[in-house]
Amino acid sequence: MSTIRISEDLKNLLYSLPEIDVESLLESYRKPMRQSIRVNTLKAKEEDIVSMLREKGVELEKIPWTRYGYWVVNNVNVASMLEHVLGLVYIQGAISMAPVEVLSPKPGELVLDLCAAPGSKTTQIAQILQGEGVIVANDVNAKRIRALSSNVQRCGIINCIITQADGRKFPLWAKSFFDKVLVDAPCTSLGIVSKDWGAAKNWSFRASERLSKLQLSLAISGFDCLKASGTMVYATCTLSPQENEWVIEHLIMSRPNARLESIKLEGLKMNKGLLEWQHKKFNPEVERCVRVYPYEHEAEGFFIVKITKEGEGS
Amino acid sequence: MKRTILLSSSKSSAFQTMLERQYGTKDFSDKILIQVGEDKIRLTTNDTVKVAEKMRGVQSLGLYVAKVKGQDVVLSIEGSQLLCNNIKKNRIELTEEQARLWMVGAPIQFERLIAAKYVVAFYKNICLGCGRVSADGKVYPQVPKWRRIQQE
Repeated sequence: MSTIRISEDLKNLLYSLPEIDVESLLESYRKPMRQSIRVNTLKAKEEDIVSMLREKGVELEKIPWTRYGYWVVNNVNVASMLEHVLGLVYIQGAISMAPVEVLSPKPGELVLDLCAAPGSKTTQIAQILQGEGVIVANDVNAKRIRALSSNVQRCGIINCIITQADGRKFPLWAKSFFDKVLVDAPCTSLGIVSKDWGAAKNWSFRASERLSKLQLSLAISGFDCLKASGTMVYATCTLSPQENEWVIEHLIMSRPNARLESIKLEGLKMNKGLLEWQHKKFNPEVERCVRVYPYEHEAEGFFIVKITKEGEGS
Repeated sequence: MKRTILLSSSKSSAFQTMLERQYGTKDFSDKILIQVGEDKIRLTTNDTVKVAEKMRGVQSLGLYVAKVKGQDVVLSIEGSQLLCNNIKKNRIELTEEQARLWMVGAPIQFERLIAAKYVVAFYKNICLGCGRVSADGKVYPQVPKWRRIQQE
């Protein structure tokens, strides 16, 4: 088996994290993740798509924590199938489907996906909205917006607006406007190293700290775009407390009307947010955040937190 | 973003008349049609248009459903899928092998003569967008490059 290179900083980080099984984590980094898909009910009925795939020899197993999500059990390249190019299925990581389930958008709602490209979660939200309500899918990067546009088109979404803007500035024109906000923040990607070994080789405390400032600004911006009683989900696919618990602690310090909610998802192994890291104690509320490690489901690692904005609903 | 305008009711009904003439359906009637650039038509909802007016940096809204080429409407894959069950004219049925070729972007040869400029391809009950019929009986799929299956 090939050897994965891990930076010194990353070694220090991993051994500083309580509860994490470092050997299992490194083992999971070496292996490809299990393939998973979401069937797109905007295009056809779930049972029809599933039976089309099964007829072609794709073995599927339902993912318990997400609607429309399936593990692909056998070794089939779904990306080259007609059903994929026609938008009947979307290839998406199994844990990456969890933040939208936690957000739980409802048909008719106004939803903002602040860091939307390449569009996995945007298309998942749109599927749950069933054409009712509106989703604003924003990204700052023009190249990534092309991928987002393609995926939104392929999935057949009519109620999506794609915007290119700095997410930190969104409250200038959309303050207290949305029912739901998703901030799937750019991060150091330690939850998806098996897709990109470079993330482990190049990981540094400095880069993580630099990103955490951007993540905090995005989280505050997303929160400010929420209506009173609205819900925001902040998620990253990394393990560093600097980009996760630290960000949330500072969000709730700067926005006293932010409340962290408990998260329940059937069948998903979840670990509580850290209360202490490197002699720094976090606010006890931060324990409501959840951490999912890559070795727990042979899938991505994620950090997810559900936040509501206290106040009268509009 | 390219110049985007809501189709006026007269332009919208002219577009739907073209759709009915070519494909026997005009079923986009309960949604908002917008024109992007010279010839592209997108479909969206009233609420989406209202929200877009408040946003900055809008790149696109709604779904690209068709392109108008002279007197013809060329449906996108998604445009044809939205109308799928109601398309009564200018349909061709593809086998799985032909459907794959279609999505590669390769022309499909038909034995019988097709008396139309554009046709909608069906594979089982799924629409695959429009193809242009040439004089030699081949149908050229109008599948954008980014959407094509890469040949192995």
